[in-house]
Amino acid sequence: MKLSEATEGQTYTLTSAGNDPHFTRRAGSMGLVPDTEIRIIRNQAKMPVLLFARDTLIAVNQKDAAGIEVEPNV
Amino acid sequence: MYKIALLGQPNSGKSTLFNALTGSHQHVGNWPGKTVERCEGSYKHQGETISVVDLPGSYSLTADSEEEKITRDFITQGDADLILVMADSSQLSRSLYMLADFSKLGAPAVLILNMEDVAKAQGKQVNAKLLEERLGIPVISFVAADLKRYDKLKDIIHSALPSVPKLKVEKCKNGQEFSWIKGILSGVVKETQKSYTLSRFDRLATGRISGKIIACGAMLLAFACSMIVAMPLMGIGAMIPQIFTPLLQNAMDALDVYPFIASIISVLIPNTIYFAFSMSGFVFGVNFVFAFLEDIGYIARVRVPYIKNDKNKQQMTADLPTTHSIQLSINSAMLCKNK
Repeated sequence: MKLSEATEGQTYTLTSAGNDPHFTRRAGSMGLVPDTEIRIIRNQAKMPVLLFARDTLIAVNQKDAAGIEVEPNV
Repeated sequence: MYKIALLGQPNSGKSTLFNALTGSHQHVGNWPGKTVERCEGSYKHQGETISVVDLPGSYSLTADSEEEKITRDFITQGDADLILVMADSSQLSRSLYMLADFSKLGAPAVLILNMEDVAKAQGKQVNAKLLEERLGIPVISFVAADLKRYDKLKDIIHSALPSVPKLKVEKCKNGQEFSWIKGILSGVVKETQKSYTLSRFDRLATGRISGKIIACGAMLLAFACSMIVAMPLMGIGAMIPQIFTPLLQNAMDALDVYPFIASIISVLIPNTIYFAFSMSGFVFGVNFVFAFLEDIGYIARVRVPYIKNDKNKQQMTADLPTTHSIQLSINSAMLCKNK
């Protein structure tokens, strides 16, 4: 599912950081690579998604978040 | 004379370290032919002068942006005798990405695990000795804002310079940075599992409506404070025409100067100097106040309510690393919590 559709308070595993190699590299250098554990701190409409990954709070705008694929952790 | 360079991601404490090492012995220019700022300075230790270059802050060395290309070229050309690689102790699994990228270049280095105080406050214990044994280069736990620690750091740099320490671990492969980091960090950090939640202020400051209200209020307050800081200089400036205009007018009368020229000299010039003083006072005040806002981490939060979904893809990707605003580090969040 898309990161932009993720639920607040839930934990996910990142499966893909998009198709654009430029974006993927940028996101990668900040710790957003496949198999990264992510916890959604906030996801409100029209606001950047606030997520917690590798001890860092990251804000990703909704459009970029739609390009990132995640799997919910059970 | 030895030359060292500071390498690290934004918010790793590079500038704090650079300023503490070089003090007033520094100057700011530009990298040749580029718009990227270059900070260079020096310090003396045990009779030697060590020149320090502050490399541009970037998240990696993969030469996508101007900053990364400059940094990468500088390192591969061997312009420095030693590179001080900075990492954030409270976010090691992310901030060692720079070291992972750096390992591909094989240059001599010392690793500085900065923000040890923040890591301790979060209940994290970093075993620097284990990391040092594993990496084969000196590893120092550090707090760049604590001046008492600098003598020890300078001693370590001083002994590292002739010995040229290089990473003894296998070079990181492209695309394998985080598994490389995982291997390096195995058993190094002991932490009490703490769940992170946004502090009340953070929730308000990054809210869609509350964030904008707080931002407007904060900006108004910031400009008001800037004026307060600027007032002494403005006061001095105001005295200039008060003192010099009458003096100069008398002089012009005595010398029987043409009236138009006389008014330029006695009125226009002192008032122009007064305005220049006032403006520089205001600019100083604004710089001072906004640097403070940046330091406490508020500028990072102010952007969140205003980030839009841009149609221009290039602009979006440029947004990610260049401004610290898109990445809120837990350090700044904790700082606000304690206040």
